[in-house]
Amino acid sequence: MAAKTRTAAKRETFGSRNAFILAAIGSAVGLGNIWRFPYVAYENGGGAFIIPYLIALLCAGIPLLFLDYAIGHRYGGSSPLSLARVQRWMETLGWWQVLVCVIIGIYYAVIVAWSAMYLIFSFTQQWGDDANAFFFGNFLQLSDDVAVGFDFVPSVFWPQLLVWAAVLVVMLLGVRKGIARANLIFMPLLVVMFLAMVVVSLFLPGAFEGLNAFFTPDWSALLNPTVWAAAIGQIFFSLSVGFGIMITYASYLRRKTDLTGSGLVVAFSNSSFEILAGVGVFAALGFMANAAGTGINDVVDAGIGLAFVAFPTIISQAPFGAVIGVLFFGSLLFAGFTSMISIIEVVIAAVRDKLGIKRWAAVTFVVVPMSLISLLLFPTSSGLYVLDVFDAFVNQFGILAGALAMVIAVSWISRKLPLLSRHLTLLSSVPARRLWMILIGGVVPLALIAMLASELISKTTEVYGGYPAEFVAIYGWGMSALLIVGAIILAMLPWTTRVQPVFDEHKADEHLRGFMQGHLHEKDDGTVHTSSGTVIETVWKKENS
Amino acid sequence: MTGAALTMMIISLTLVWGGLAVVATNLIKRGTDRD
Repeated sequence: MAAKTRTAAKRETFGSRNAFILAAIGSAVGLGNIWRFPYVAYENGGGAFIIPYLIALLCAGIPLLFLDYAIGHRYGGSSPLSLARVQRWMETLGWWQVLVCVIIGIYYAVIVAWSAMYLIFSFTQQWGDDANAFFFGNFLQLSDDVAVGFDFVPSVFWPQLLVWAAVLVVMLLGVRKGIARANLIFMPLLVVMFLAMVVVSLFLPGAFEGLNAFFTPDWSALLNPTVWAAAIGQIFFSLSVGFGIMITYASYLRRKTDLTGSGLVVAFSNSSFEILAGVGVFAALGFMANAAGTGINDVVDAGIGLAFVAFPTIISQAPFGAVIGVLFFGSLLFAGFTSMISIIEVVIAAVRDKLGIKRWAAVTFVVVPMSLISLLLFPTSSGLYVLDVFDAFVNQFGILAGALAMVIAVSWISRKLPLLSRHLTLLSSVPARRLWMILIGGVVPLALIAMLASELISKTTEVYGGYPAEFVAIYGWGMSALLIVGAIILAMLPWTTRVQPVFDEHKADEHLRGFMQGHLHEKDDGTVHTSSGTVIETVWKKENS
Repeated sequence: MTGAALTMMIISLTLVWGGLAVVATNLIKRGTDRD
């Protein structure tokens, strides 16, 4: 009896390389590019930051991206399935990544909803003269009491419900008609709107003082190890690596795909957008400082403060403020939404593989409970506190720790790097040989260990954000621990008989060579045939026959 | 803008956007797959 090593149900594909690249860029270009990078660069050497940033991109970000692509493409499944096929025990690491995506997905929705509301507010500049008081008081109705409450804020609840409805529709439509098409619409819109925002910002009075502050190099910063850690952290969190997204997306690629060539385009597109964001944001902040008669240092901010307090202030004061508002919040909305669908797809793919169910069932099984939890926790007067703690802990003890565990498991324990290197090099225009293995097996884990250790020290020596200790214990440490316990439990559940986490490495290599030498071909519907036209369904469905 | 800031801005934009142009050209011309 043949053991099925690929999903028995036909696996979806992106249909074209460009659709995959666009979706991967859509995932990588998110809120962090717009509201995190400019601040990180400014605080860590200004113009000099480009040096550690590019070194981190080339030595850590791109190698990690290639690793995700190699795992997803070779083992052809969601994160838990692909990692289980590397070595059975590694399924737990895959579920860890999936649960990280669950947490990020449930709070990402509320930020996308805020962006949508602020896009509408931009027309009338509804925040008035005090954007800070409006955001925290009128809009979020933030409570002084740091505890989870269920007093809902309708102006956040309804848009958040709409965001989840939009996510549900995109996910139900599938990889090609949903994810790929959404990115095909939203990514060009994002680029055009953001470019327009940058151009308009450059014409504001004081814009060049802002750029001056942003790009003036502080060369002494290069001697500071924290600057290098910041560069690695920015690249790591910005590229969507290490938490299942790129593994899942790569599993939807056709067999014959230029993995490293596509990966380089995704990585450089992400960085190009980030630098552009730095120009746009600091040109606008230069105007804000100029209008207030202060220095850039007094107005510079990151994250929520930059997007929902500083920018509304700029919009109120700037000529054509409504235009800047629509362009800025439209960009945030599209960047956030395309990243969010990639995060949710990680969970859907994993559930689909594990239970062997149809897409609509998996989408319902995932999106409905996630949206309910999201709508219970975040559109409330205490939602911002939970979001802040979730975000701080899931980034460090979810994404970072999970990625580190995967890199160590693949490179040091299962010792699959030579095999994955061969896979990447055989398929791609840019080889990933010894240097890639040294970076993934040596440089990347050491950098991740250093970052994680530093975060552990900072979060254990003082209570995060000045919140009550029990609040951080539950929603920070408790949530992080629950991710690991949940991953272990999920990995213990049996796979459906339709999908088994077994894999024949030798045959996979043989077939890949067949594709590259032109003996084997893949049709658009996923069937594989020889040059003479004989369909070889057994190639991908019953490898152990 | 000071000369140093202007220089770093030009270098930064050239490196990332130029890098993107190079890798995109490589993919179009030498890519092992076709759309």
